[in-house]
Amino acid sequence: MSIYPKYIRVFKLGVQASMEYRLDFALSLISAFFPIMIQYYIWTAVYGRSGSGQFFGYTYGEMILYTIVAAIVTKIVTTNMDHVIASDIKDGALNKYLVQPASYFGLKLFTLLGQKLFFFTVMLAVLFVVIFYFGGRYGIHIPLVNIACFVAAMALSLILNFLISYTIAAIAFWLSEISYFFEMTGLLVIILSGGVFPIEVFGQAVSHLLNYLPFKYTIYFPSNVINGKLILSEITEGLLMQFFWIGVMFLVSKLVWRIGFKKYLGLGG
Amino acid sequence: MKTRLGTLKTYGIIYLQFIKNCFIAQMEYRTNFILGIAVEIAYLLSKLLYVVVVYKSDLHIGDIPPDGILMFVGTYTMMTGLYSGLFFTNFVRISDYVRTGELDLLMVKPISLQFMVSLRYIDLGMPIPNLAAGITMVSIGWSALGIPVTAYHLFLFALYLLSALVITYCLMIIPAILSFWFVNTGGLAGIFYAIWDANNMPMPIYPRLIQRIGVYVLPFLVITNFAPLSVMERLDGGLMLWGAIVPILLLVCVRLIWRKAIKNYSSASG
Repeated sequence: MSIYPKYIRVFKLGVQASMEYRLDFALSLISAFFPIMIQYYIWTAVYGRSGSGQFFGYTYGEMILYTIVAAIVTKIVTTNMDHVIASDIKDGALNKYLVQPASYFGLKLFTLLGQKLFFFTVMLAVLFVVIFYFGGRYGIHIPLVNIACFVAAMALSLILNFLISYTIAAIAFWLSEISYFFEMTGLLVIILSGGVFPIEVFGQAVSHLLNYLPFKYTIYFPSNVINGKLILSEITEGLLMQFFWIGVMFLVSKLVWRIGFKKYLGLGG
Repeated sequence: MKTRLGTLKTYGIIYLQFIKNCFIAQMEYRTNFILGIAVEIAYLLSKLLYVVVVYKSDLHIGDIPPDGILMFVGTYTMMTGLYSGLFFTNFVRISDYVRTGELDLLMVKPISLQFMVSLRYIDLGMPIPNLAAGITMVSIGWSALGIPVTAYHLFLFALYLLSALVITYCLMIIPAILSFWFVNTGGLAGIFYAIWDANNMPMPIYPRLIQRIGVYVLPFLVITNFAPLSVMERLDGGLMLWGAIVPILLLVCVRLIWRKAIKNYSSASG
């Protein structure tokens, strides 16, 4: 018998779970609107006063689109999986998964994908409306192929972000009190990923350094695919880099988990 | 009058006891204490990015130069520190008290329930980075703008900070109080945090309608704007008065809502 039905089952459970909190989802959509609004006014003031059409390498239209898209992308790719996994490790709930004939990694991944399916679809619809509206307003034409690439980039960045969270969550094997720790790492990951401002804002040295890290491929890259800033060859290169980092982070997470697991005590449970 | 003062003194003593208890508890979990500070530093970094953008793009809002904007970001950072240290932990717990029925136990104590529930926990670590960074930013902005350091200016600034603190208490407790009716108000609290962040920039950056709403309807924008605006002498008489009255009005409102909420409370378990 194929091993897949169990993961598909978990995936479906994830979808059901996400449908349970629709009001919460709607509210989180509304709360995403405020940071966008603040940044919209900041950029409007910045570009409005100055004669120069570009700041940090972005035209006004590109910057506004980046701001909106990055806020939405951040909502989609943020997994919060590190909290869930860490509490499994801490209170011994991991035990029950260990005796099951499925991998913990696989179960968590498919639950996440299931949970995000609904969000993903709604958010994409929102995004397309936004792009259609603002793209027309600022004269940014986005070819169909960019939109297709964007969907692919988003799916990849969700997986990449899951792998980053999964790796960071392993820290729970070593540290006992960690809820603050994940809040900090989560925030830093968002900043480094370009979730607050495009990474060019950090200055040349830092954004050059970020080229060697996986973070910018989770928010910064997909957002720039859709705001028309990247040409096709750059997009292809970025997609390949996403595959590369998914591979690397997969190996790193396996390694960290193998080392961490030796510390696992299975308390409680 | 005498009894009023006596009551105030008693509550002062109780509040000092709260601080002492929290200090002892936090010293027991030192890693957590340090991690709490680290979290706030991370938040601070994301706020400092705005400062970077302001200076790099030489942002002027109306006729407020980057140094002036720094004063607003600094005030906002200070207020975030005070909020996270004095109120945040308490407000998060309120819906838990309601859900688990723990409120029953707190109700029988011989002091004001609202005081007990909303001020009992003080986080001494979290505010440190924000307060330090906020005060630094305000000082830099203040001196760069050449605002004279007079007793009058310091008094004005302190007065509007105090007013801001009361407004913060009143506005941010609202989602928590609503949990008496709607158990889970996490989403609404999220919206309030997001609106809170609108204070990151001076209010003249927003269109007039948003400013009006933010000052008169849901007075979020009073929190970080009035203190710097007052020492820059950009606050007209009417607004100065409003900034002093609005915390009192809000306290009365919150007190009334709280009473209604308690009447509505039916013990969950316990």
